[in-house]
Amino acid sequence: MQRSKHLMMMAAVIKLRIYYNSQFREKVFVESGRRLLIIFSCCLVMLMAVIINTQAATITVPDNYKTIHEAVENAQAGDTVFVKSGNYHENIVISKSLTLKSEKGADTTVIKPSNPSEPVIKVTEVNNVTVIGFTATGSAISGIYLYKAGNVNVIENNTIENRNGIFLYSSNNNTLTGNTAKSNDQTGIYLETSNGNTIEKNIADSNREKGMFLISSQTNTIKDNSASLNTWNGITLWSSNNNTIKGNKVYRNTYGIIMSNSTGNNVTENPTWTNFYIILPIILIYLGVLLYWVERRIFLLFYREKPI
Amino acid sequence: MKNLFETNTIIASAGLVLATMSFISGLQVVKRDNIFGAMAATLHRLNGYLSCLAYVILATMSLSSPGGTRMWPVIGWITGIVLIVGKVLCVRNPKLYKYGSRLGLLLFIAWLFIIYKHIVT
Repeated sequence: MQRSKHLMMMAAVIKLRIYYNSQFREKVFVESGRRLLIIFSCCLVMLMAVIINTQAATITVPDNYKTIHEAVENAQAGDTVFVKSGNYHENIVISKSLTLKSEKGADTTVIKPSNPSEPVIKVTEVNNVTVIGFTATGSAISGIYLYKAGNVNVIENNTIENRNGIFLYSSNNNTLTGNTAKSNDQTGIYLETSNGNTIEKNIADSNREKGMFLISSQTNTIKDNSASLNTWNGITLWSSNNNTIKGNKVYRNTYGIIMSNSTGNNVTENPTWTNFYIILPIILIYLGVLLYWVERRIFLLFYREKPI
Repeated sequence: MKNLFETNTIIASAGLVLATMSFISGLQVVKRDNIFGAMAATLHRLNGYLSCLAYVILATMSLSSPGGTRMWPVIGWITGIVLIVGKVLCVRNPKLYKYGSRLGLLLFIAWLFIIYKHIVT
């Protein structure tokens, strides 16, 4: 009898323990779930914050900052500085990876240097910069100057009436596309100790010395450019090896393509006519005489003569 | 060779051809005893107006291009227009008629200069 009582008590205790254990487990499960949810939410918030922070911002000049220089100074790496049309008087120094872009292209966005003894746009000791659509004029150094820069894209800019249009010094693997470097005091596009650059579809015309000038620069690709009407040479290579010069128009310079102390360069399909501008007017005058004769014959068919 | 087929080169070439035609017909007009004088005057006027049109198109293209509104291009194009208008006024004024042929020659030289500036650029 006593044993059965003892057994019943034991069973009751076990039941009670099971009940409490299940209650405890449920509580622990809920608690851990809640904790997980909080951790997950925190992670999500942090991730969002990181994403927002790393997302490239667009800074507009003159809406956000009055000057381009100020905007560049305050931009983070990866940002885009968007410049509205107008005339700006300043020297711009870019030393972080960003995109500098004009609203409506080079014709309407003109930058003149506030200090003419400095370049208008200087990209210095940085990689991954893009400069699109500016007119840089009036510098005694250079319109656009790349100093020890890499992977810089210079696209559709005008560099007019500077000492040099676009100047690359110790800058490698950059791309110059669709730029115009005209009427500069020395050289349109000038590379010094700069390797592996691609210079494509640019215009380096009417400069007072040379269209393009490479000094100690190797493995560059100069393709489909125009280097015409320069006072001295169209394209000059000096101590520059293994460059590719292909499909450039080199007209009406004193000398077309000059290579000095340079080996292994691949120079193909570059027309270098210098005298065509003398021949063409003569052809056109002959054509004019011929067409006048034809015109007169046609008029004679239906024109009734009367004295003047 | 590609540059020869650019719009400004083509228009400048057409302008020089028309200026040549106009110049020759102008010379025929000056020779008043020529039996084709009246017709030559019509041809001269037609070619002259067409070359003037080519000039205006070229000037507009040049002035609207980057750096086109600088001092020397503007002075050059305005001088050309003054020359054209001056020539027309001269030939219409009996007192100044004798200067017409000289101005015509100047216009022809101006077209040579224009073609020099527009080839392969």
